[in-house]
Amino acid sequence: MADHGLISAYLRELDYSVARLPDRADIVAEAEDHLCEEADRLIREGRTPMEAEAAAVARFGSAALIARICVIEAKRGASVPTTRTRAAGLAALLTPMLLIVGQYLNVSVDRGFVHGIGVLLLTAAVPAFIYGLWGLRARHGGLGQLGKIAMACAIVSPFLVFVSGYYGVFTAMGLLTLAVVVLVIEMLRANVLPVIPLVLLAVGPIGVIALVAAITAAGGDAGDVAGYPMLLTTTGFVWLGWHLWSEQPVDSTGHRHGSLAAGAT
Amino acid sequence: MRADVLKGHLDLLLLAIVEDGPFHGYAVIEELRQRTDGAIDLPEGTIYPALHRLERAGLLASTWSEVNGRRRRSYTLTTGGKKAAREKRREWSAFALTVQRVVGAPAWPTMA
Repeated sequence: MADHGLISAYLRELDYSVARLPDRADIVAEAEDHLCEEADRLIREGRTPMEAEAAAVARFGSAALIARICVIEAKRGASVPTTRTRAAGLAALLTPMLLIVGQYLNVSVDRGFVHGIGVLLLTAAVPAFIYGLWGLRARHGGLGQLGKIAMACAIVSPFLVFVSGYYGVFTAMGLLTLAVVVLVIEMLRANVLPVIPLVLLAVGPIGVIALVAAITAAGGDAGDVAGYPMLLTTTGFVWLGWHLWSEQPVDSTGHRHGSLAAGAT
Repeated sequence: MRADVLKGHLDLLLLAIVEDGPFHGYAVIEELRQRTDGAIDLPEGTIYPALHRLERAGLLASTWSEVNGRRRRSYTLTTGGKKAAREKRREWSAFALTVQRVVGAPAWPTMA
């Protein structure tokens, strides 16, 4: 159909309105397909192209309304299955505990069974962290292709530790940091969970890198304080874990568990 | 029909329509308009975020194609979506029957 400018102007406005959403391009593409098809239908009914475009845009709803509904729908827990993301939230809550108890046993007991338990708990903190991240990503609808790649990087990163000593450790930490930062940026754009814990989650590893770089450049030893910014990440992760865990359990059929409101979505 | 009346039932309507699919968004809205004789009057663009939510919930799956130089997304029901549609239908029937028993019941007999 000939474009008389109304639909393209609307699509530019919609693109601007949904700019913070991760599936922005898809939303605009679907809107374009809908508006053009509706305008074609109205032209076939005898409207002028200009009238048809105006009517199609008017029926679609304002760009601001569509953007608002997109955010509301993304935040709705009712039909988003939360049974698995709740379990991931629990894993996120447990991660710092596994680290603290594991490290305590690892350091305070030299060897033997208890020391082994400590190492086991420390090791278990890694999949718990990854599972928590997975839950956060799932709660945001997967976060598209970028979210998938970032999650794959996060899953792969612990295995890099085995590659070659310290280089492997640094590569693993770098890749995991990159994955977390990308996931947090996409989650902030999706605007589903609270902003503060998400920012805290990403600030920790960035803070560690900045602190180590600054202290090393000044000729100091960053060893003692390098890990402090990770307290921010821990706070953010536990906060988000609690958020996931405290959501009402809803399975993939949209059925709520333990609620009188079942079926009222 | 106002949007607030529809609230709570949109998921079932969308699942029931896509069950006969695959349909792209415009076709879903057209089906909704035709099957309800235009009684449901929503800004058409507001249906899309609901379709996206159902997809994120694993109840719908979508594929992209190119038609007339435009990108088009078509939706189908997943196995989970079919199960959810059956469940929501059952709940709706039970709910409608219950409400009908109350609002359709004859008034309490009064003395003339």
